[in-house]
Amino acid sequence: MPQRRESGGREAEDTYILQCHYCDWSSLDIGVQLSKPTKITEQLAKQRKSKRPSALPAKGAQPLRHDDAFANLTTFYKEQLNESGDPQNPYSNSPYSSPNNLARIMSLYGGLSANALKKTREKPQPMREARGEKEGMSKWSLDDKAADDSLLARIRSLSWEDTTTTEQRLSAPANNDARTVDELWPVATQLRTRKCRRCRLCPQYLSYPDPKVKVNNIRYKIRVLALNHIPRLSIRPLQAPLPLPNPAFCLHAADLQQRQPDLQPHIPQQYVLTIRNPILEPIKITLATPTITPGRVASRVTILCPSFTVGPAGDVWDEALSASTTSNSTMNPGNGGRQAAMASLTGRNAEESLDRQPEAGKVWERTRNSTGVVLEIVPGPLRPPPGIVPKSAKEMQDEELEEGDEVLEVPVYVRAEWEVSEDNDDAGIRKGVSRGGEAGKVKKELAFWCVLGVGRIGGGG
Amino acid sequence: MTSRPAPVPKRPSQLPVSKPPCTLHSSAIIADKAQITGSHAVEIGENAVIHPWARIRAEGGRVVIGKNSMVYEGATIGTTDGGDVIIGDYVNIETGAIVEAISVGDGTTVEVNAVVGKGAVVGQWCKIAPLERVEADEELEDFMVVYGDGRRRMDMTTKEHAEVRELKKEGQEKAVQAMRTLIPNAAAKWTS
Repeated sequence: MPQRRESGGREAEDTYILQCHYCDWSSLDIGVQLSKPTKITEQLAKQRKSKRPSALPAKGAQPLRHDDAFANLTTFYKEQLNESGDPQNPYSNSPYSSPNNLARIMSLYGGLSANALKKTREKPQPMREARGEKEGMSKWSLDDKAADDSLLARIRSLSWEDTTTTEQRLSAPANNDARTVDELWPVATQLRTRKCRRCRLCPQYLSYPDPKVKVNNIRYKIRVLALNHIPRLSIRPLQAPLPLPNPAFCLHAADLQQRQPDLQPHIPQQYVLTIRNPILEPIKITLATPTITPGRVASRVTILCPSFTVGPAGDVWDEALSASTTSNSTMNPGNGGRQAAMASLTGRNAEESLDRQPEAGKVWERTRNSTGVVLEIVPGPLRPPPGIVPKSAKEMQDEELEEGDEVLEVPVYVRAEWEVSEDNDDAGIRKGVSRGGEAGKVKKELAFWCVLGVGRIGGGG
Repeated sequence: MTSRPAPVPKRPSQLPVSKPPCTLHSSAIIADKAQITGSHAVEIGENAVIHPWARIRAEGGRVVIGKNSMVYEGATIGTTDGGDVIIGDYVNIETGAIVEAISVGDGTTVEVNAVVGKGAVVGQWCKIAPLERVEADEELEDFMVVYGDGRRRMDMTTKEHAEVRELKKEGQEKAVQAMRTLIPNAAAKWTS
């Protein structure tokens, strides 16, 4: 098969040819030489244009060449579009930028309404199809005997290999009419790229072309990493003893050294565990933690509200525009509506102003895509209470604290569940994910263990 | 006969005791690891390059390699049972190719792992594409290209344009020069 790919061209005296390194076909075989090694497609198109007219007279009354027919048809359709105009937009030729605005102004000043105007306007011509050769229609005549005979004569002397394959004919419009190999025209390999890549399951873009580089540069940025789909956990003390400065904003070196006060064993501390939802569906979270933290120092941990929902992430404007309606559905009944109402009246969280106490089974705080629950932690003692019975050597050794044992870390098991509609989820079906209750909805779930660092337990007592 | 060329007999475990009578041009490069075996005469022309592990078998007849030709690694030239092999100038015998032809014309390229059968006559400026084969006793016209599973076509570009041939020669000379700097010459091993 003759290769018609571009490979390195070379010729003396600043002329270039395309050559296939496999079969040694070159563009000289069809009489094409290029003057520069760049913009090859452009040069080829120019050469083809200049070649065609010379070929025409010889063929006499042949149907139009494919290129010309295509050009004619394009111009014809463009004209048709212009003539028929856009019926939706009667003021398309007005200097005002928005036709709707203009229509409104016109109706304000009495007179005819936009609809009436539309009716009075003469009916646009329906679009028609191409009628003649000038308009790009190619006729196929059966009784063109001379042409057929010449073709037959040519075919007789050809071998099978000299005829084009369907693949070759369909490679480009220029090659659609080519019957023999020597009529083929070199065509650049089509570049096929995808601009953006979207997730199958959610409307997120996974990657998109880097906007900083030029269009022809196909460098992609991954926008959404898998990490960004995992609910984010953060923990902070409920009543901060003193406002902790963000280390990024520390102005003096001394501020950085000032570290969080140590936790006192046996004194219950309350923390707010905030879960942030990064995906566009509301998720249902279930938390679990061992009552006693594993390790040498046993601290007691209680999650006051282990099961709750977190609203969907999304555009900030979504929330602002549809105020209290969107997030209500995801909120606990009783709490959400009132809270939202108060928030909209006072501009702040109603219950925050009150000196409220953490309550078991209640969510502590809630924003559009995050929910905070209260975690109660009783730090364990670093050393077991001194006993009366003397200890064996092994027990003594067990009591020796190792580096890092005084750090209080809480393992938490997080399980998130959410539903995605089935129509944009073929991956889920393939994997056989269990169907949710609602028709057309597929239930997804994600569960993982994570460790929250709470602080250091003080040495005292 | 359309069978494959005669299978290569086992390589002797030691270097052959008797070296074939070699006529090597002083500018030819023969790598230390190249193998030249047999008892018939071997002639290697000006600027020719024999790569390491190339095999020249003068067991069945003479082997002549023209100037500015290159024989690559693992290529085999020559016959074991009768028949001279004459390789022209500016010829490339690529890696793993087997050439047992009576003659290979100037400017021809036998690509990677291609086979030219015994008694074949390959014309000038031919090209045998990778893995293609020229059957035994076949005569290949000048400027023929063997490609695409046994198909043949005339390379009109080279045939009708003398400047293209010149360029090809020039390219080959440059390639040979580049190889000279890369391959240590051990021609003395075969002449002494």
